[in-house]
Amino acid sequence: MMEFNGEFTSDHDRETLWKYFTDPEILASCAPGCDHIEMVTPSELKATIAVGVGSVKPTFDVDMVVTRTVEPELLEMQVEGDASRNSFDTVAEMRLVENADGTTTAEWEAQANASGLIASMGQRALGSVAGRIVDNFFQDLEDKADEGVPATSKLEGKAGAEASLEG
Amino acid sequence: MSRADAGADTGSASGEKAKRESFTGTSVKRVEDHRILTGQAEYIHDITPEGCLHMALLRTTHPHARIESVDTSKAEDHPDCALVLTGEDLVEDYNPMPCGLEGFEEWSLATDKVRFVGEPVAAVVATDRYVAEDIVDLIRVEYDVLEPVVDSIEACDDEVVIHESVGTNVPDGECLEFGDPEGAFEDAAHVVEREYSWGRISGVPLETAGVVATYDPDHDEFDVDCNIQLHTLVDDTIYETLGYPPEKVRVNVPADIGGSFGTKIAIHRYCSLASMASQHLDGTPVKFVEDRVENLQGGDMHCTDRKYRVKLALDDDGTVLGLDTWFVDDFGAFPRYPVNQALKPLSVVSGAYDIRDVRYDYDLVLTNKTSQTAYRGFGVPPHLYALEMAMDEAARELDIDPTALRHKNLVQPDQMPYTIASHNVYDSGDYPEALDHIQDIVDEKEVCEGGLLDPAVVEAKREEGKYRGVSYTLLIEPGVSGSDWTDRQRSDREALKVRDRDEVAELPEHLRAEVRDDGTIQAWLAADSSGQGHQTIVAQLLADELEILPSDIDTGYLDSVTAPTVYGSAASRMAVMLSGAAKGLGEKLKGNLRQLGAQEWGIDVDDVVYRDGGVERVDSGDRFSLADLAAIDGGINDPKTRVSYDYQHPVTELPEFDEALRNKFPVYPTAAFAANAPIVEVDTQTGQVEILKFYSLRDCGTQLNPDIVEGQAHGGLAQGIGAALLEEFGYDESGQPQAVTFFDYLLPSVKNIPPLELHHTETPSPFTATGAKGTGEGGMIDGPAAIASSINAALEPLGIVADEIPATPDRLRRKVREAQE
Repeated sequence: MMEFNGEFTSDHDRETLWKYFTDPEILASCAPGCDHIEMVTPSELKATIAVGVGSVKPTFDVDMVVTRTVEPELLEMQVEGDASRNSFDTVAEMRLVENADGTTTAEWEAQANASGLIASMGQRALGSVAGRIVDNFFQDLEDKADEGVPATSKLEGKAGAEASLEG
Repeated sequence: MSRADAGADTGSASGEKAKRESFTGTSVKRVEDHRILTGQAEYIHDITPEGCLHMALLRTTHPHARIESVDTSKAEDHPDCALVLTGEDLVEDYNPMPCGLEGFEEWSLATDKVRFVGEPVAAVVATDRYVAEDIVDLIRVEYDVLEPVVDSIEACDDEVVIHESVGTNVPDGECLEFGDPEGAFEDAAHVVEREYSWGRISGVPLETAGVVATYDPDHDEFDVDCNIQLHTLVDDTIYETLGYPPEKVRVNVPADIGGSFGTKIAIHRYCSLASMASQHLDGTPVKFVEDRVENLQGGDMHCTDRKYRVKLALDDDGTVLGLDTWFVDDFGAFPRYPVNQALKPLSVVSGAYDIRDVRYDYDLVLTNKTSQTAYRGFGVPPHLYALEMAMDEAARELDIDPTALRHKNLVQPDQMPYTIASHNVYDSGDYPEALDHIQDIVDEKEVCEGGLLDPAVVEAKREEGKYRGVSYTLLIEPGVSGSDWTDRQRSDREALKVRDRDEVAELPEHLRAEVRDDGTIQAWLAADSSGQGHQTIVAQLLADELEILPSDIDTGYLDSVTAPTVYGSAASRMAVMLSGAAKGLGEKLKGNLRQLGAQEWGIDVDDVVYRDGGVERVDSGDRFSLADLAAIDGGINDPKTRVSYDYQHPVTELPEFDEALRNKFPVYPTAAFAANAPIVEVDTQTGQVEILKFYSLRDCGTQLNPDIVEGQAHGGLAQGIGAALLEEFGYDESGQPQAVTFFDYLLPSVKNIPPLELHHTETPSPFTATGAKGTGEGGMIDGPAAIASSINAALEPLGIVADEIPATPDRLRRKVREAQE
């Protein structure tokens, strides 16, 4: 199992950010390599995401389940991806923390099991790729918020769901 | 080719002695090379029959998981999809693949569980490979992911069992004792006990595994073109899997294979799947060639992955009294057929040393990794490595010079032929002389002013953190395996204790030839080749026997149905077996031709001699050329110009091997050897090892073709260097393979191969027809132990031992750091 984490500071308050983080259309437009996101239910999303890791660039069919939401401070998801010769399973959690100066810090962490070619890259290579993807994502989302692109919160935690990498 | 060309001196040590009157023993240019170098060689990849479809495999990304469902509907809906097969489809119509140990059931596609990353779960056949791979992506497999077992020592606890039906991850093991090891250790003044590990290293041939299979619905039989190794011996892995008798499955191997080194013995999964697919498609040919990632990750081609514990019992003067080795061999997910490499080291159990009291103990362990198959040396390289490391450590402990310690224990020339504790016999050689000789050369050229080991230079380099050293090791390459012992682990071992010598049967080497109308010879080999130059050897030997030119001899290969079962190109076997067969075949053909001449002339056969490519009447000097004889012989029932010959395995006639044969202990009747002295420099700041120069004195008995001998040594040493320093199929703790491309599986390149100074001596084998000894595995057998020992010599001031192979920079740097703390 690999563990990744990081943080990003936004100029916006967390109520505003929450709408962006829980609007599938915003997520689709910000996630690097994301072709589209389809909302199956308010707690379940499907997406296609291409990830480049060194010489390997698999395109994953991704299933996301929103396992927990505490508006406007906590979002937890379980994400499973399958691609040719690759797969991964991730539990990711993000906390939005208010700062005294009115800014918000998004603290995120993820545990992942990677299999196949991407796994052969090892945590060090994958960690830097994950960090870059997440940073780009936050920056794009921040830009949308700066521009005042309308966003509507649509996601909610799935009743009874529990995020886990077991089985 | 003229005789003058053939006799050209190659500048090798034996060149001076080259007998110009014979082709054998000279560096006749390889007949294979022209077509290879001009791009005319035809490999499996070049074979694409009309209408041929292409197969791709869905391989799991999980090391251990239960398969809950396989949904192929989207794949089958694809317009270019011809066929999808799953494990379930196979169970209906076919058999599991033969396994190396009793009690296992492995299907060509996983059925209930997947057990290693890369294990095939489904096969797709489509119009081309690209489309087939796209369709593979449309298959949905639901898994119940299970905890994997990755570490071989932890696997022994059986907390997670990979094969429930077997019930344990340790399916076999044996503790063999020869002499009185217990007594030897009790009486010893010193006991040195150490641990070593040998990484998952294997051969990586330029050409990956490939097959083109065609089912013939009219005759209900299969044609399988593939690059399998040992195609007459292991064709059972294909026909038994298909559920057909051998004569219904014709396995054909092209004359040119892009390397194998043992790794292509176990490609039957692909051969069977392509055959099944062609059968499902009413005879449409189906082709499959592994891509490189498939080959490295799940190609069933990894090799020995061992953890050793070695104990030596010694006297005060350094005499080794007893040897006790134990190892765990990490087999991966399945025990591979036909035989694993746990036993071959018994054929050189005490190396070049005279040690009578020996214990040999091992456990075979299953883990969630790719299965092991054969690789050059077949388990001997790690054994010799572990033994030589222990010798170095004993020398340190007893404060004796390591070369002196080795010398003290070497088998002496007057002991030859020498029966080792585990009953194999070393045929010939003067080991002390060879070791002295290489040491003299290095002393003279390098341990002097201006040399690599000039004491002043060594001292100055050490100030910079660069440690130079050399070790002198004498290592044996056991050659020409018998076949009978190879099923020891599937035999009732109690019954072996009372087994009769007459129950032992060995496989001969088969060769056949005919005289063609124009007087040239067409010969056929039964064993497939993968680059060794067998056609050249046969042409050389037959040309000498028949007193014609090698260029008048063509050589081809027999398919598995036409050929009898022979062992094949493995275990440093063919120089001995093929040269013996060629010699015997030539003698037989000459006898036949004399008879034919005698019949035609109406005289006694004793009045006919064979001379210079024809037969002559002794009385008149009248003569029939080979073309005449072909014309005379035409069309009769018992053709005299068409012969076959079976050269018997050398051990069959030698009582020295009776004890080993009866007990199914490995018999290898030739002992080629190498006295090595690689000069290494270890950069203690980076852990990087550079081999500055590799000195080696090598002896493989009579050299049939010195250039081929030299080439085998070069290739073998390159692989030995890769094994010692670079190559490893690593796995992370979750069972994911870490070396699935050449970014991570590091092969030696020109940058890693030092200048090689090879000297050759010839001590003919008394056991073989031509005096040749096998030399197909040297270099890989003797390189790693020699290099690791030189690293020990270099790092002796720091007290470091290269106890892990490959000795990568991170491992050595860690040891240096620990030593300096």
